[in-house]
Amino acid sequence: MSLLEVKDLEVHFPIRGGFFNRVKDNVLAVDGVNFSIEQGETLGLVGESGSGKSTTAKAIIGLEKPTAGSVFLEGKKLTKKSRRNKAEMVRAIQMIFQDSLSSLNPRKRIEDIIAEPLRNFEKLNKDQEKIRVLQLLDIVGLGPDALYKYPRRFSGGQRQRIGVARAVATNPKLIIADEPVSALDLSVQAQVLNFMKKIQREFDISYLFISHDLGVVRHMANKIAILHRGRIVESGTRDDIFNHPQHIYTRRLLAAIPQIDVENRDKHKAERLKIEHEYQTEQSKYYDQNGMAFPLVQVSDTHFVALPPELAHQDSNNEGAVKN
Amino acid sequence: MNNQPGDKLLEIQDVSTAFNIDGKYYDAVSDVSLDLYKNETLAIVGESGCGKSTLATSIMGLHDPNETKVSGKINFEGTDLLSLTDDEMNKYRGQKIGMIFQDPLSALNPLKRVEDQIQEVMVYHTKMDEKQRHARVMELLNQVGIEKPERIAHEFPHELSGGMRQRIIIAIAIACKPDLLIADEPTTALDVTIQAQILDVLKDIQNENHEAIILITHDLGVVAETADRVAVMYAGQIVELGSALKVFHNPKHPYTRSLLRSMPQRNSENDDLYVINGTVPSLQKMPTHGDRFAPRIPWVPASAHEENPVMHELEPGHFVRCTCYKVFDFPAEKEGAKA
Repeated sequence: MSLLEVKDLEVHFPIRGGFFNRVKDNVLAVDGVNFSIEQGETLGLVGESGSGKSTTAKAIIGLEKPTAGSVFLEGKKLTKKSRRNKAEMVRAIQMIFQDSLSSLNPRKRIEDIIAEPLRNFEKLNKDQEKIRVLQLLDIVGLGPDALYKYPRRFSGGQRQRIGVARAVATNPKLIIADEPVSALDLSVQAQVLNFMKKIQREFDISYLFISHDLGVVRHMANKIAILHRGRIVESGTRDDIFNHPQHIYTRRLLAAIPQIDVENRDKHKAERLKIEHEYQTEQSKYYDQNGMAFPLVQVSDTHFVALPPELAHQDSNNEGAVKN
Repeated sequence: MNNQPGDKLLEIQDVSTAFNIDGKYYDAVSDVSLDLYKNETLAIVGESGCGKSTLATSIMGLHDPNETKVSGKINFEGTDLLSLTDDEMNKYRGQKIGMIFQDPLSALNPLKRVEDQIQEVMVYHTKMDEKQRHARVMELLNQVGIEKPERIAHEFPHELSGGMRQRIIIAIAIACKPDLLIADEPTTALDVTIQAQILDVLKDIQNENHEAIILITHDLGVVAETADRVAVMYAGQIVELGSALKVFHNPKHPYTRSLLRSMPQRNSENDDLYVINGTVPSLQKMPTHGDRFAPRIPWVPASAHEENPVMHELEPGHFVRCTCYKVFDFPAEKEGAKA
């Protein structure tokens, strides 16, 4: 049984008139997303702005009401309305946000910020609480002098680590990290990512790691799902996505990552333009008449691609041929 | 992609920019010297607070003289920009020097249609009539890769996507065919695919107009893809300067090497990333002498640093500050030593 299972998740936002000069009655922010996360595993959810990655996260943690579909944590349905259930969920799933400054209450000291989830869920006395907070700070490499300071006294990286400490306070099973390092400098980013990995090793936590930065995702996640226009267009292991991408959108995304290879940059650019051209001309083939991705087709044990019906058929034949 | 560098366009000599904090002035940029040639892209790269944007705004003269002291010389085609009055400087801004900002939404006027915003620069700097200006707007929108210029010209900024807005900003910046384009994190707020398109647009424009571009960014990937030369800044100083090829393939300064090492790499998945010791000193706590990067590589003996680090030319065009690069090695590469 997977730790988290998301089934046919849909989040639609109704709109009147149209932002893109098109009149639609619904924005299909998330439209039929399926995935699962095993214990101790990291799933990287990748997509450009507007792809629905943050909406997916919010729907899982209950900040957004799903239009349809369900979310299961260890087999228990989270999308049910019973209250007791919900409290348990908040405890088992925690979140780290992108903007560390606005996600920490500016009027509270670090001690109170980190202790808040403890006060909500655990009955500790003052001393126990303090010890626990100090332990948590220690996990993310901050000393006891941080206790009585306010968030603004810390640098971006330190604040993000405080966010991590708060997220692990209740011993969650799953942490949803929504662009946790996007606002940070390289060297600080390295630090936060290292701490996140360390915590994962120590506490066997699962991550849903949301990011637009494929380099960071490659470093953090062993399974990756690419989201486009509210649907997953390709999912698989790190190797599947980075070395055998099949969907045109995945290939386009990969080609667009700037690479540190000055000698071959002209070659890289030519390759990128070729794929971009291919994307522009063949895009219609990979999406249905409404511009939505096709259902996922399994191409290997771990690798799923939203291939159009005709290609999918071909592929499954090939697969059969290989197996025979 | 490697353009032939033309004549020298900009000469920055010992420029320091100091901000007034509680009555005292602190250097955000200290003693930066740089040359810029026509038709080249120079990337200034560094982490937040290293002074890269401050250097750009110093060139543009965007600092409040009551709160900021800018010293040194910025020679632009023979004129020292720092000696100009505000009115004189206004003739340069927008006409000879264009600037592209990071956040395209806040750089555009939300109440004006795209066309009017682009025309504004021309009204100020040129004697074109309405018709000529309109023709130029269409030309510019085409140049920045907007497919339906007539329609887009009539829209308001909020009706456009982030990539489109950045294209409009570029159109405004190049409206008067400036000789120098300063792009401050032009693609940081954009998705990677849009980022690639915007960088292509900048390159195409350069191929057409041959202006020099100063590209300010923290993204080493963007630098490696676009820059001819790279200046790496740390704590207000340039610590390494050279061709993109040299800086990325044969980085010398400990800071450059550390930065490159802290990036997630292919096949680094199971390793911890390299973390640079300590933090960037704040303006008030900036060391006044000695190597500013020294506290972050404490295992390098003090004798390896210079008393007053200067730039050393290792090869023609490749400069490195301080002598510590000679002995610097990562702790992991030494036996048993730990950061």
